[in-house]
Formats: sequence, structure tokens, C-alpha cells
Amino acid sequence: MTNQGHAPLVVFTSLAIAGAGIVAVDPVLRGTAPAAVSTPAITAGVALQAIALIVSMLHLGRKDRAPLAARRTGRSPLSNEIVMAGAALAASAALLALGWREPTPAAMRSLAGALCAGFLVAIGLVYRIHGQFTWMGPAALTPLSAGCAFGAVCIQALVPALDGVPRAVVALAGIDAALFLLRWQEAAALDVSVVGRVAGPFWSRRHQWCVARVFLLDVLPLALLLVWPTPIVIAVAAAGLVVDRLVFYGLAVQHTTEREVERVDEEIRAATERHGD
Amino acid sequence: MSAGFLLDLHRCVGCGACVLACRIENGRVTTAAWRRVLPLNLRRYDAGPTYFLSVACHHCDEPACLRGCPSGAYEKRPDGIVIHHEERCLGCRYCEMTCPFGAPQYDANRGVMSKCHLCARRVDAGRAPACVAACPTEALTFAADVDTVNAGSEEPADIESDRIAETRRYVPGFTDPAGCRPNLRFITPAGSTRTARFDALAGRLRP
Repeated sequence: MTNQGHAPLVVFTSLAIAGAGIVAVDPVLRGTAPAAVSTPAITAGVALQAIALIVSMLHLGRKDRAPLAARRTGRSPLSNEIVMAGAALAASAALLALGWREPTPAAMRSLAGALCAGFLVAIGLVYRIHGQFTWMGPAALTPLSAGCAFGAVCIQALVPALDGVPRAVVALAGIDAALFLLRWQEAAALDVSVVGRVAGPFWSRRHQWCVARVFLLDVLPLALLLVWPTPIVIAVAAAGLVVDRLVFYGLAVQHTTEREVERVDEEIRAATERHGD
Repeated sequence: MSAGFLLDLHRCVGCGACVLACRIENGRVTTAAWRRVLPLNLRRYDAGPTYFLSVACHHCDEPACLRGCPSGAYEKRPDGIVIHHEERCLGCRYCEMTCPFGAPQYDANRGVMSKCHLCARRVDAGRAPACVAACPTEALTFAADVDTVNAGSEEPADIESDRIAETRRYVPGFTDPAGCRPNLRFITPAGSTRTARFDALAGRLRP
């Protein structure tokens, strides 16, 4: 798939990860005791997931056949993701509706959180494709970790009752940064002289992109929450999430026969130069 | 059964007749071709072999497209041919990501994917696929079961047994066949010296 073809997927996954991340970490940060009312964070989580689902449907070549997407649930990772997206959105919307005026039951919040976490895992598994090596390994877990890190920052910034920066927020950002560092290590280990040439200009600046991703999504939001806890921190973390998605697709060098031919051609050329032919 | 292709690298001259025949047979004159001819070692450096890879869908034993498709648009027939049913396709392009051979092509005008169906109707009628029929050097050959070609039980009539003895699953430039088990076999230049040289290069150039 071309980089242009990835554009709607960057938008869809950015919105979906942000929305599901907020609802997933809500019971973790606010505890399982009944919450007073639905927070602006939950409202944002539901809205983001709904927009994500619409964007996802709009990118289909045949939108009228969208219901067929769930046909192979349990067998296709993409069907699983779509079903989980629907379930997570439905549970999040129910949570929002129930908690509009009255405290929401802990069980409902936990269920919605678990379904959203499951959806984030499903997003990662869609790209765990055998043979496409750049999406293997820790990359499959980054939607979950990035979503939770983003959600934690949002809830912390939008819920005034939470003073300071709880350990859970620091832990979620730390786990996300650690997972991404493993992913970064993998990307750095790939042979840039060969892969970089066929993957385009993104590869030449991949370290800068990776630094920007960790800085915007994990480091800067935590620092801002400590010294200047305003909703501006959400904008910073959102920028980090978009960069995360760009890095995810930008480092995904698809393994095809064309790429393999280019790789072999490059090796033959290098061997010839070594021997001075 | 594993229907597929045999490609004789020694005979293929990269003329592209197979691509043209595929386009005409399947009405794909203005859209992306299902078959491509990829030259390897285009600059003809002495350090490596020079040949052409004529590739399309390889009708894999474990097709990634079929495994990932959310709507069940892919079907593997009992004879091994992998068919794409356009009427069930969403146009999500997931198969384009999963296939390590770049076989499924997106048709933007119709919003669906499409791919080589090994001219199933021709095969059912006892005829060779269009690409095979058009090959002027008989480099591209259809095999009803590529796994039994070496044993000689399903030998196509126009393939001599000494050529068949040289078939292999991997040559440099071909995507590693371990994952999906594609049904494309290569016939490489005969002769012990040339075979040994080819094997050494293949070992060195394999990812």
C-alpha cells in the first residue's frame, strides 16, 4: 500500500486510539468506586471513537458493503478489530448515557474500560502480519500503550478532583515509552542502506520522528502536568499520538517481490563495488 | 492439489507477452496489471545472476489474502486456485497489505480489489492460462500440481524431464516463500557448474 493509502488509516487509528484510550484508563485512574457523573473526558472518548468508526467506513472502496466486514469474526484480525470497535463504542456510549445525571456503577465502567482495552489490542493485532517484518514484535502492542498513555493525560487534565500526578499516570507513560523504545531498537536494527532506499525519505529521519513521538506523547505531557496542569497538555499528547501513527506506518516497509528485487539488486551492486568490477 | 506456475529463468527473455495476454484476456487494459515482469540485475553486474521474474498471484497453499480478508471474498478451490469474489469485496485493501507478493490490485474505479484467478475458466475447459499460452519461449508453464512435477506424475507435455529436475522454490529476488507457501517453481540453468554457482549466489543473497 502506498503512503497515500495509509492517510485514512493514520486518521482512523489516531482517533480510535485516543477515544478508546480515555475510556480504557478511566477505571484505572478514578478507581472502581461509583463516579459522580460522566466526565468531559468520557464524552470526548465516545465522540472520538464514533468519528473514528465513520472515518474507517469512509475509506472503504465499497461503503455499501461495510456490514460484510464482520463476516469472518474470529478468523480474520480485521473482522475482530471491527467487531471490537463496535462493542467498545456501544459500551462507552452506554457509560456516557447512564452517567449523564447519576453516578455510574463500577461494573459498567470496568466493562467499558475492558472492551476499549480489547479494542486497542485488536488494532495492534491487525498489523501483526506474518511476513511483514516491520509490523512484528512490540509494534503490535503500541496502540494499547499509546492509547492508555494518552487517556491518562486527558483524564488527569480534565478531572479537577485528581490533584498532582498519580503514580498510575507516570507508570502508563513509562510503560509506553519503554515499549516504544523496544520498537525503535528494532527499526534502528534494520539495514537502512537497503530498506531506506526503497522505503522513502521517512527512513532517513526516523530517529528524529521517534524522538518526537516519545517526547510529545510521554515526556512533555508529564512535565506539563507537574508544572502547568492546563488542558493544553491534551493538545501536546494528541500531537504525540498523531506522530506515533505516522511513525507506525512510516516505518512499515511492506515486503513485496518488487522490494526484494530492489534489495537483491542493491546487494549485487555493492558486491560489484567491493570487488572493484 | 496445488495448481501453479513453473518459470524457466533460462528461457524467459522478459518480452512481456504474458503481461499483455493477461491484460487482454481479463479486460485490464487501462488498470493495473495482474502479472508483472521484474528484471533482476538490470545493470548486468558480473557479481550476480541476470534473469526476469514473471510474477502474478502464486495461488499459495496458505494464502495471506484469504486468511486476513474480513468479508470472505477469497476462496481456495479444491484444485488450489485462489479466487477473489468481487461481489463480496469491501475495498478495505487489507489483502494488499498482507500479501508479500503484491498480487491483489486495487481498482479505484470500482472500489474493489482484484487479482489473477489463473484463468480458472480456461483451466476448467482444459486450456492453458492466457499468460502461459502467449509465452513465445515456453518459459512460463502451468502445472495442475506443482508439487508432483518433480516426481513426473503430472508433467506438462512440453516440459522435458531434465529441465524439471532443476525446479526450486526460491531464487534471489523472489520473496521468501516460507510464510504462504506460494505455488511458483523456478527452473534454473542446467549443468553442475552453473547450478553450483547459482546455489552459492542464492545462499548469499537470501535475506
